[in-house]
Amino acid sequence: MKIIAPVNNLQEIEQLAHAGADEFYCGVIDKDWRKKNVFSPNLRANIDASLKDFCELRQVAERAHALGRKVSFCLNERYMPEMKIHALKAIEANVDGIIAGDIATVLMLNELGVQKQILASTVLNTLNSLDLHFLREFGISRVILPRDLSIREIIDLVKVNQNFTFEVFIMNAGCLYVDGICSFLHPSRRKTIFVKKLNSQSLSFKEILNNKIRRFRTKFSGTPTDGGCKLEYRMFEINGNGKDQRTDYVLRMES
Amino acid sequence: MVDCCPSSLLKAIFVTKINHLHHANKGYSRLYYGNEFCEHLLPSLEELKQALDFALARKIQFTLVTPFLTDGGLAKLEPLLSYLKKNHPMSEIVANDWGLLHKLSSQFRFGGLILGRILVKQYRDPCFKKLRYRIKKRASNFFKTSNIDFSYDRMVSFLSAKGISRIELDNLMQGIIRKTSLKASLYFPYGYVAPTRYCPTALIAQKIKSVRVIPICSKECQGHTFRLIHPFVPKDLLLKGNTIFFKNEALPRSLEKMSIDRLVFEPEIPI
Repeated sequence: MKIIAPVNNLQEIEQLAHAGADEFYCGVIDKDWRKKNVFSPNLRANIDASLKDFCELRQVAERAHALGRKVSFCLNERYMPEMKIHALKAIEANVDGIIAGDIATVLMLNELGVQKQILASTVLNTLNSLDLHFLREFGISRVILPRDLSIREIIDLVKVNQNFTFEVFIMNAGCLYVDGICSFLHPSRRKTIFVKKLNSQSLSFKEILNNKIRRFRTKFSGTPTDGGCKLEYRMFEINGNGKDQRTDYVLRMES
Repeated sequence: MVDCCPSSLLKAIFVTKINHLHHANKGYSRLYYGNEFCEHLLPSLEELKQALDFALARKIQFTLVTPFLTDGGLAKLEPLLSYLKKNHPMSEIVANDWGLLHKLSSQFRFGGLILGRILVKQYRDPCFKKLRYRIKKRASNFFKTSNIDFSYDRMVSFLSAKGISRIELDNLMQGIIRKTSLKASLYFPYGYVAPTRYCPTALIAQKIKSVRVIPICSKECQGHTFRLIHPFVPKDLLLKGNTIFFKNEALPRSLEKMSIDRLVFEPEIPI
């Protein structure tokens, strides 16, 4: 059993290793990426949760290797052409593995002839044994399982697939949607949407609608980059008679 | 619906419940039957036979829609696939699970193997439409394009090798841009935003307070539909069962130019 920890900056490496981390994973959002893209390549919506550039990634890899630890590089977002450059830069920075979140990304890495280990990201939604056989076709033997698999389901899957290495999250982002299928908005650049702070408590529902406020940050947002999944929705039951009935429930999927 | 779309389009209807087959009246040349979002809602073998009989009697083609699956769900699907293989090998299968797709492509391909909309990554959040004016054109185009289209020939070649000749797309609020000539179907008018295995409908019906429980399914979804309202979300969202949907009743122009040659009409939220 190994403990794998996320890394946000170079300074964390020693502390995490000292605390028992056996391996690390991280992503990079550099200036080039930010200029061209709205999304984080690693799906870590909070920009501070990623390394600032590939120079820092190289240093992270060097320090981790000096401590006898490995580093995996995340490309969790759906495939986009810039990911090829991102992957090549990460390989140059001497990471040990690449976590891929899209089959198109896996195909790109295979096409490049990447010699590093490719890990199936949790967003590939590997739920069953057939999924594992499919991943084997690409040379993948290490899989990060979806957060919503129950312990029973994990045990059953692992028992019959001993030739794979599995990772499971014990730290959870709190979202209850299926990671690999959710298409709620999670942009990485604060300026894009969440610019003006509002105290939503001071505005009524009607006032907000009337003011047509487009820039927002609600009391439900944990970070400035949270998506629509973390809003608290009023629930009205649709009756079919044209009059929706307000329920006593709100849908808030963050636990 | 049948009359309002271009005549060159093949019109299919998507029915998720056996007692709702009456929606498939004249004008449709294909029946989609099954479920994409919940393995608990896979039809029984008896229901599948009824749906097939219905399609045969009306001389329309048949497509079985399958969800993302755990090993338990795969076991439940197996008899349906065996029956189809033996008795209706020309039926199409929509696969929403890479493992299932891999198995079908290597063992039997049926009348057609289709990459379901769960495996086609699109940005479906209706908020994109609202944000469009603030986003650079390049990024805006990115929101309209699926991962299959962005990976150009690489993904198309891979899918072709697997025997997949069609992908399924949602009718995005922000519009659609296609970059490949791979044939596509467009689901109309409901698109999904996000499913969860912690089914909110069942949690509410069973009065379970923790949201970290995968409830035992009693098919509560069949009796409840919710509208979700938040002032910052431009279009109301709909919750049915374990999945959040949006509704977009505006069809994009020039569907043929986008290689969309099939419209899959959803007479109700497909749960």
